[in-house]
Parts: sequence; C-alpha cells; structure tokens
Amino acid sequence: MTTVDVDPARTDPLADRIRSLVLPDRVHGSIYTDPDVYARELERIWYATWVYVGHASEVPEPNDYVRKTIGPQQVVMTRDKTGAIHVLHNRCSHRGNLVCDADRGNAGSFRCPYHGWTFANTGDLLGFPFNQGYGGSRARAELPGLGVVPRVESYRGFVFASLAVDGPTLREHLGAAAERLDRLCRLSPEGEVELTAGWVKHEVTANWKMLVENETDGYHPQFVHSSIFSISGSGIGALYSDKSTAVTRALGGGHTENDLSPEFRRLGVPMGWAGTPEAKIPDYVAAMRATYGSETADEIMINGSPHVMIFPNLFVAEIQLFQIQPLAVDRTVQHVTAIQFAGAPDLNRRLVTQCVGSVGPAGMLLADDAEMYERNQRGVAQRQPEWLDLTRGLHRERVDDDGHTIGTATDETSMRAMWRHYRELMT
Amino acid sequence: MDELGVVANEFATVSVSVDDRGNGTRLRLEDLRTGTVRHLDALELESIVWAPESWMRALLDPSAHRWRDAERGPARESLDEP
Repeated sequence: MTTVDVDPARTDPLADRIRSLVLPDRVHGSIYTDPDVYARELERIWYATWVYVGHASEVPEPNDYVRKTIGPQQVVMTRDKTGAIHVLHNRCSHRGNLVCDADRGNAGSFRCPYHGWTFANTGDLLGFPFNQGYGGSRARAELPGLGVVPRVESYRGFVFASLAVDGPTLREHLGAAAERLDRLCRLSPEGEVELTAGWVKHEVTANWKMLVENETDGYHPQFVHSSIFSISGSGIGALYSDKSTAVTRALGGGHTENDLSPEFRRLGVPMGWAGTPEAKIPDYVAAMRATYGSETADEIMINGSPHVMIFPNLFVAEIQLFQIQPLAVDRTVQHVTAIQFAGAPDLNRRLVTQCVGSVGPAGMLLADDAEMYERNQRGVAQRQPEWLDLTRGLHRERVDDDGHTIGTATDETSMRAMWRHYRELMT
Repeated sequence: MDELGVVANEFATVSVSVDDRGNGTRLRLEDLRTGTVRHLDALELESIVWAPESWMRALLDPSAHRWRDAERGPARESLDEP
C-alpha cells in the first residue's frame, strides 16, 4: 500500500490565498471584502482566541447581567449568587430563541419568552412547562441548559472569553498589553476602573480590521480630526507629528499602542493627557497623592492613560474604551463608553462630558473616523490599484529595551504587526 | 398598606407592599402581569430566607406549579387561597 504525506497547508487553498494577500509591506484589498476570508476570521480569531467581553464593574451585584457579544455571537455576562462571572450563549436550548432581550438587568434565572424554558444564570436548566410532555421532571437532567462559553478569565476586572476549550491563558494572550491595563488602573486612586457611564453603539459599513488598524494609526489624526482639534484648541494633533517623541509600538500578539507618554513627560503637565488642569479636579489630585505619594502620583498623572489596541477587539483610547464587534464582512459596531476611575467623581464627570463631545451620538471625533471607515470600504472595492501600502516607517523601525518593535508616532509599525499576527492565526 | 415598590426585570414584574389591614403586618406580592396575589407572613418569609438554594431552584421550575400538567391537579391552586 502506498502512503502519501500530506502537508496540511497544501490542502488549504484559502490559507494559500490569505498568505498571498497579506505581505509584510502591503495587503490586498480583497482581505477586507471577501466573505470566505471573513468566515475564516470568525473561526480562527473570534471563536478561537481570547476576546474581550465586558468589565466586572458592569455586573457589580449578585445576579446582575449584561448582554454582550463575541463577534456576531450574542452572549450574556452574568454574576451568579456566589459572585462568579459566567458568559453564556444567548440562545434557548429548546427552540433557539434569544433568552435575554434587555441590555442589562438583575435576575437569578432567565425564562425564555417562547415556551417558558427556565435557566439559572449559570446556564443550568431549571425546568420547563408541562413536563409530562417530556416524561416528567426527570427529563431535566437529560436536556441541555444554556451554552456556556468554556473559558472565561479576567484581568484587572476586564473579562475576556474564549470559545475554544484549549489554548493560551489570558495572561499569555495579553503579554505586554497587560501592563497597559495596569497603567490605566493606576490612574484611579483606588486602582480600579469602572465602566458605568453607559454605552453608545456606532455601526459602520466597513470591515472590522479597518477599525483595528485605525485605532493605533498615528498618521491620520492631523488630517481626519483637524476640525475637532481646531475647535477645541486641543494639542492632540501635535502628539502625532514627526517632531513628536511619541512612539508606535508592537506589543506582540497583534496588540499595538501609540505610546504618547514620552511626549507627556516632555511637556511635564499633570493631567495634560486628559486636557484637564489640576485646579479643576482638586479632589482627584488630592486622592491620588494620598494613595501614591506626591512624587509617584505626579508621575502617574503626567504619564497618563494608554492608547492601546488589544487584538482583536479592545481599544483603550486614554479616556474612552471601545469594543469592536464585527457583524458581517462589511458591517461593524463600535461600542464605546467613557472610562470612569474608582474614587474619582470630579474627574469622571469631566471625562463623560469630553466623551459626549468626542464619541457621543453627535460627537466630533468618532464621526470623522466612521466616515473614513466607510469611504475606505467603498474604496477597496474598486479594482485598481489592488494593494494597500504598509511601508510607512519600515526603514526606520527599531527595537526598544523590552524587545518590542517601535516606530515614530506616525509610522505604520502597528499595522504591520497586526497583520503579521493575523497571518499566523489565519493560515 | 405601604407600597414598597415594583421589583421587575424582563422576565417578571411584581408589586411589593406591606399589608397592615389585619392584626399584624404581612407582605403582599402581586404579579402585575396577571393580577395574581400572594401574601406572606413573617414566619413564611423567615422560612424562605432559610430555605436551601435547591428549594428556590425547584420553585423556579415552570412545571412545578403555574404550568403543570392538568392530570397533576389544579395549576393555579394558589388563587383559591383566601
């Protein structure tokens, strides 16, 4: 009998195609528009790796729950009576109806509105009406409960889930990006952030990867956001210039950041990153100094908040947090909220106001980006030229003391890193 | 009678009040979706507080009471209570 050694890669034409579409210095336009590529992204990225789901502060009390998403999948994040957090598929095990409809609530059990099947907030099936039709209550043990997402872990209150039973731990997945969440939490006098300001959902007709790329693209702000910068007198635009000491950094695992802290340190203004003078938030400044001591508190308040994209869907942009959710190859939702710091009510009020102006329903920042996403999606559908260029700053990339690749504030180091990781996952 | 408020989520809506029309106080619960009422006196409430979690889980089985099969007896027997 003759045996043939089969190279799995050779039997996967889509993998071959993706390898040919994602190159170190360019990507093909069809990577944003091909439904087959999108279908594989769901299986290889959204349903296989760690995906950010929600924050523990969104379910503060026993039996609190919130509806969340993992890509197009509808899930419910619950806190049970014991305090443990679960992520459940929002699908009745009887006829597949959505079980939870409200965005948030408090319930120890969920009753499907279709036929009354009732589930604990851990996913266990508690019962169903007229059980003689199933031979009595004993059938309960044989029938399935709600689907339970197999792996749920949190870091500093940020809850991630993975639909894959096996794989790297969350800490391994986050790698160096975890320290950015630490940096964020240090801005609270109590060391915690709270996502309690409510959410705005922005849906765009664009592929999700355009959003991921844009989040740490330091090349666009001076163009796309020039109007809000000029109206508000913001100095943010200058942070993203060739004169800026800020850097773009590849953190590994597809995670990237615009590290603006060198520029904030050069300017040396506490809370300069938030555009809020210390005099306007005296309680916050006092609380920070009481917690950390004056010197360390000033250092924390000067360095500011991170601007980090944690692949594939968590973006912390200094004062606001975005959760990216693909709905289809050309439809994406950005869920956005103002970050709130525990123990900082005076700062939090200002952050909400700022976020209303930047990313609220009539906000001037995200609307600019949304316009670019949708124009980009229409643009890549055109036939020529076929490729998108990724070479900006390639010749001047360096490796920092921590071994991370860095570029200047406006270089496309972050995009190249994201695509390298993407290619590994997809092929 | 002191109306304490309405406890509601997307699955049920129940009005809660303290009924003091009798010789002592008791809790009055009204399922606002059907108008069904149950009173609970202090000892009944204390018993609920002390009941094991398995008791509450069994209570939440729709077939246990409200939607049980006809051959198992009246499904809405609580309505017959005074």
